Amino acid sequence: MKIPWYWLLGLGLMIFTTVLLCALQTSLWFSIFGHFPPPMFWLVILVYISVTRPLWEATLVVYLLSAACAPFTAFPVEAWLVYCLLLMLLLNVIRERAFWGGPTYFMLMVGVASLSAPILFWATSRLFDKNPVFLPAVFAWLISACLTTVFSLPLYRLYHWYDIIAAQDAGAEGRVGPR
Amino acid sequence: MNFFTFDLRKIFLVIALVIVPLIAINMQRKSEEEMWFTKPFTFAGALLQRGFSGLSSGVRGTTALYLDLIGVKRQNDELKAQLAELNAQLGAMTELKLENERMAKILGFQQASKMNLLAARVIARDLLPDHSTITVDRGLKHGIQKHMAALTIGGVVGYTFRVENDTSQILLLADRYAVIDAIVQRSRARGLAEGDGAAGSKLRDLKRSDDVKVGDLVVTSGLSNIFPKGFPIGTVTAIDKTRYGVTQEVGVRPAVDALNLEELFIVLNANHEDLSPGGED
Repeated sequence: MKIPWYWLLGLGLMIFTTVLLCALQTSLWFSIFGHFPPPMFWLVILVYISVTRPLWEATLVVYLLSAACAPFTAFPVEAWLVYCLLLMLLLNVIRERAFWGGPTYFMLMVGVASLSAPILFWATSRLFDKNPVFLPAVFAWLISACLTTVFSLPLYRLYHWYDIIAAQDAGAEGRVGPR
Repeated sequence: MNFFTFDLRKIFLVIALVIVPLIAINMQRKSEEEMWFTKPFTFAGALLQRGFSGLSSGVRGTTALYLDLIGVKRQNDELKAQLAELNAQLGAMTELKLENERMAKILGFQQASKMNLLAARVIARDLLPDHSTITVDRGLKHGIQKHMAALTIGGVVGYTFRVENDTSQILLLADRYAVIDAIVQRSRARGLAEGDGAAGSKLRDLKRSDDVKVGDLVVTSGLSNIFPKGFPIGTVTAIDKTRYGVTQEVGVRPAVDALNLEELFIVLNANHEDLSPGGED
């Protein structure tokens, strides 16, 4: 069996970038901007793989993503996994019904995901937590959603570049979409 | 041509070249007296001289001013740079002074306490806005273990819940997952301080009959020797007694604004310290 090195390289780069950005979000951002809510960098990659990858690959990346992000929060890894899977499935459902690709579509999907995130978080917390969220930090989530959408464009370019160097034509867009 | 033939041109010439100068030389005129016919020229000359002088000095002044401005601009730039540098130094000095004051307080607290404390610096926060955790720059290799208390001079911060070699994550009191055994200092009523997800916490499992008032201080119970006994957790802000329940729920405002912390202590061993009034210390 041929080992898909390029595919693995692309995946590794994406996960590495996620860890890097999560560290930046939790450490550097608060050193510079204090309490001002940061963009949700982890969400951008989740959206990217949800709209550019087939379901099986997206699911695999969500597992890796959950493992990569869990150390940065008190939210338990299993709850993270369910939360990310729910988000990914939601994005997948939207993609099945509307898909045209490109950065604009990506930013739109990031916006949708950013706004859905607190609702799903609330639901997941209700499902898993003994002391669940009563009211999410709405203001923080909203600011984060706006910032995430803005930051998603440069990150889209970056992930797209990973796809190219990993010999996966942007294609990703070409080979996905409503199947 | 006969010499005595009148030639008017010659006469004027002789007068102008010889006679007038001779007369003028021989006139007994005081040298300082000005002739009437020179006065207009003197006036005009003076006026023009002043004009030219003014123009000259104006041009020279403008040129000098311009040249000065170049110098001033350069000097201004230099002074601005110096000011910026001094401001930066002042900022750094102020920061150092504040840090020094903080450290002095911390050191004083550490020395006065019989607890085994480890100072740590906050380096990161939680990834999600609905969780309140912080990461500090001390971990396993500094002697930290899971479920060790984190506190400051002002009160309880939380406790460690994930410890790595060089870092530890602390669950803040305000986090929904945080639970600390607590007592109301005045009445000794016992309950569990639990984060409410926002910036506050609540005291649950208090009996309905327990004596609690708004403003009461909630302190640690000292159970399990994780926290010192009688250390401030927060102040009672609200009391909710349901109509038929057997318990009451009490809102507590934490004594420490943990999200603004820069340094804190990890309690490596509380040594059964009792900080409550009338306690051993």
